[in-house]
Amino acid sequence: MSSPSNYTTSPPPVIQISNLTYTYEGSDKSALQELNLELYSGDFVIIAGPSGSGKSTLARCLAGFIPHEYPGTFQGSVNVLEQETKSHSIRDLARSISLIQQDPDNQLVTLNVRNEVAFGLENFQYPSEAIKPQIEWALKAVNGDNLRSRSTHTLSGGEKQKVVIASFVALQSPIVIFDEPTARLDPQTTNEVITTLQDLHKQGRTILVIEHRIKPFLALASRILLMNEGRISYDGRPDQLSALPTTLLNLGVALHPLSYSEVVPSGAPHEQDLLKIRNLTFTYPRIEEQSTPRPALQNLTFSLHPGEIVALMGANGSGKSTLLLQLMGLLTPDSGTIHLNQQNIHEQPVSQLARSIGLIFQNPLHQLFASTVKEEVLLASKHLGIPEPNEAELQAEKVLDAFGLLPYQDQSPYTLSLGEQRRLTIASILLHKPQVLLLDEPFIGQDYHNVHRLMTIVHEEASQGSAILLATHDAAITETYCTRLLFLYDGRLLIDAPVKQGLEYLTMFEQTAYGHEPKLLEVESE
Amino acid sequence: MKMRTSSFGYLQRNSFIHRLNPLTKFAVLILLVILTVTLVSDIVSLSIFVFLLLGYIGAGINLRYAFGRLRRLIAFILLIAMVQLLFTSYGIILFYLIPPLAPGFGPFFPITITGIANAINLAFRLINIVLASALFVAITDPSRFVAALTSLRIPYRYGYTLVLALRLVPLFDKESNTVQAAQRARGIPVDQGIIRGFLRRVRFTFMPLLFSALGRIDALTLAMDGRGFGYAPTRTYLIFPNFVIKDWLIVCVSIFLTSLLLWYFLFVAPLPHIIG
Repeated sequence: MSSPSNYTTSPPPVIQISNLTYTYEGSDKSALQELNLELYSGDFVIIAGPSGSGKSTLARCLAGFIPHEYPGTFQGSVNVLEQETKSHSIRDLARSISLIQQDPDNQLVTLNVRNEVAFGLENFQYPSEAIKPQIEWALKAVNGDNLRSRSTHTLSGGEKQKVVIASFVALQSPIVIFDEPTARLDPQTTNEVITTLQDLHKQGRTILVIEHRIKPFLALASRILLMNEGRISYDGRPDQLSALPTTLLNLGVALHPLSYSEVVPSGAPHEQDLLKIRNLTFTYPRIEEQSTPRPALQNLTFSLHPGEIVALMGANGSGKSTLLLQLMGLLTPDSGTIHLNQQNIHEQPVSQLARSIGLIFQNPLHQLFASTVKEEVLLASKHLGIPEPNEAELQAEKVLDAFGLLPYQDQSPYTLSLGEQRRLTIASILLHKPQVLLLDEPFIGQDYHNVHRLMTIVHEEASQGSAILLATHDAAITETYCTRLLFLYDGRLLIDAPVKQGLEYLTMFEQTAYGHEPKLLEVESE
Repeated sequence: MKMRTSSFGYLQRNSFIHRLNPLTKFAVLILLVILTVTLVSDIVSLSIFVFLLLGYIGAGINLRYAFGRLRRLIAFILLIAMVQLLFTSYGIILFYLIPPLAPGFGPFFPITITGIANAINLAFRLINIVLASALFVAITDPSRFVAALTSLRIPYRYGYTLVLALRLVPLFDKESNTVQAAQRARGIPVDQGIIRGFLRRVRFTFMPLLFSALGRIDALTLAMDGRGFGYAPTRTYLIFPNFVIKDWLIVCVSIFLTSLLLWYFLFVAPLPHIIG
C-alpha cells in the first residue's frame, strides 16, 4: 500500500491525471480545474469536499463517462492502467475501473440477482461455465450469498446496494470507485457495506470512496483528498487530518460530531399535543400474490408538540417513510387515529390538510412542479390562498434568500443541482407556515454547510411553534439539532425519549439486539 | 385512500410452463392472438379464456394476479365495447337508447342483438389478449427471452429494450404514485373535482415523471456501459435456453391445431355463437 510519502519508490501509478480541466456544456464555470493526481495500486482513497466541489465529476472522468457521455470541454489527460480514457470507450475501460453510482435502483438492469451479477460477465463474453463460479464469488465477496435466488424488486435498499457492488466486482476490475455508497443506508447496513469495501481492498483492489461523512471510512483509508471548487485542496494521510478540523469544516466535511451554538428549542412544556397518534397500525396491500402481508406500522402511540424537533430513526424498511405518509393523510390506517389539534386528519382532503402539515419526500424530482424556482416556492400558497399574494411574493424572496436560491429564482427547478433541488423542496412548504413539518431523509448528498443551513431554518420554524419530525439515519445530526428521538424497529416504536437519553438507549440496542428479536427498551412515556 | 402497488412482471416459479423455451411461449401467444382476432365467436373466445385460466393455474400463478392485470384496463375495454354497442345499427332492434324527442327527431342509438353480441365478443377478445400477454410476461424471464431471441438472429440490444421496459415500468408506476401524493401534500387540489382534478394531476405529473425518467435512464445507460454492454456484437448468457423436443412438439401441435381451427371455421362450418 502506498502513501504520499513513499511515492518515489512506488510502482507506476494505476491512475494518472495531468492538467485536467473540465467544463460541463452550458456551464460557465469549470467543474475541474487543472487537476493533477496520481493514485497507486492498493490505495484506499477517500475523496471528500462540499457539494459541487467536483468529486462526482472526477469519478466520471476516471470511468470514462466524461468525455464519452457528458458533453463539455475536456482538457488534459486521464490515464487508467496506462489507457487514456479519451481514446478508450467506457466498455473497454470497464475491465479496468468500475464506478458504482449513488442510487442502486438506477443501476439494476435485470429482474433477478443471478442475472444481474452475470450481466457484465455476459457482455465480456465469459463462457457460461466460467460465469457461475464468478457469481458465487462476487456474492460471497459482498456477503450476499443468500440473495442469489431473489428478484431484484424484492430487495431492500441495502441488499440492492450489495447486488450492484457484486455485479461490478464480478468483473474483477482492479480499481473500484464508490460514489456515496452509504448515503441512503442505515447504520447496520452501512457497516456491512464498509466491511465489503474492506474485503475488496484486502483482495488487492484500489478503492476510491466519495463521501461527505468520512468518519466510518477513516480507519480503512490510506489517503484522503479534499476537493474544493474543482481543485484538490488537501492530499494526505488520514491520521494527519485531526490537525485540520477547521479546514475540514470549511470544506463541508463532518469529521467530529457536529457542533451547533444556537439554543436548541426544548420542546417543553408538553401540555399541548399538536399531533396526536394513537394505536396506529397499517399494512400495505400485498405486492405479489405469494407474499405474506406484514404490518408496516404496529400500534404506534406518540404525540408531537409545538417547538419540538424530533428525529425519526430506524433501519431501512422499519416504517419511517410509511409513518410520514400516514401523518400526511396519504395512507389510511388499518386501525388507530391521528388528530391534529383535536381534529381527525382524515376528515379533510390531503390538499387541505397541507395548510397545516407539510411533507418533503426523499426524491426532490418527485415534488418539483413549477416552471421557475420562484413559482415553485409560491405554488402551495397559491393553491392554499395563504399568505395573500403580495405578502407571498415578499416572503418567497426572503425564503429563497435564506436557502441561497435567490440567484436562481427565474431558472427552471430542473436546472438546479440535487442539493439545491432538495433545499427548494423544503423552501416550497415554508411560505404558508404549516404547523407540522415532516422531512423524509432531507440530508442525502448534502454537505455539512447545507445540513447546517437547513437545520438553522428548521430551528426558526420550531421556535415559532411548529413541530418538526425528521427521518434520518445520522446520529450526529440527531444529537446536534434535535430535541427528541423516536426509533422504529420493524414498524414498532421502540424508543421515544429526549435525544441524549434516546441515543444512549439506541447504543444499548445496537450493541445487544441488532439482528435479533429485540427486547423492548423502556419507552419514556409523555 | 390506498396508494397503489405494482406487481407487473415476471413471477419466478418452477412450473413446466415456466421451464419452456421463451420462443415456444411466444409462438403460442402469437397463435392465440391470431385465433382471437380471426375467429369472432363467443364460444371460441370462451374456450380461449378457459385455456388461459388453465395456463395461469398450470404455471402456479394465482388467478387474482390475472384479474389484477385486467382491472387497470377494464375501463378501456368497456369503452370500446360500448362504442361497438352504440354504433352497430343492424340486426334485431331491442330498443333505442334515445327515444324520439320530437316528431321527425330521433330515435337515436338503436340497441340491437347483433350489437350486444359484437360488444360482448369484442370485450371478450380484448380480455383474452390482455390475459394472454400478462401470462406470457408472468412466465417468461426477460433475460432468457433476450437470449432466445438471439437464436433468431435478433440483436441483443433490441431484446434488452424489452428487459429495461419490464424493469422500469413498475418503478415508473411507483414514482407516478409518489408524484401524485406529493401534489396533494403541496396543497394542489388534485383530489377535488373529477375532471379538473384529473387535468391538474396530468399537468403536474408529466414534468416530474419525465425528468425523473430521463435521470434514471441516463444513470442506467451508464451503469450498463460501465459493465461492458455493447462491448461485442454478441454476448454469452448464464443460461442459454435451448430449443428441445418438448418445445418443438408444443409449437408443432399448436400450429397444427390453429390451422385446423382456422380452416374449419373459415371454410367448412359457420362459427358457433351463444348470442346473436
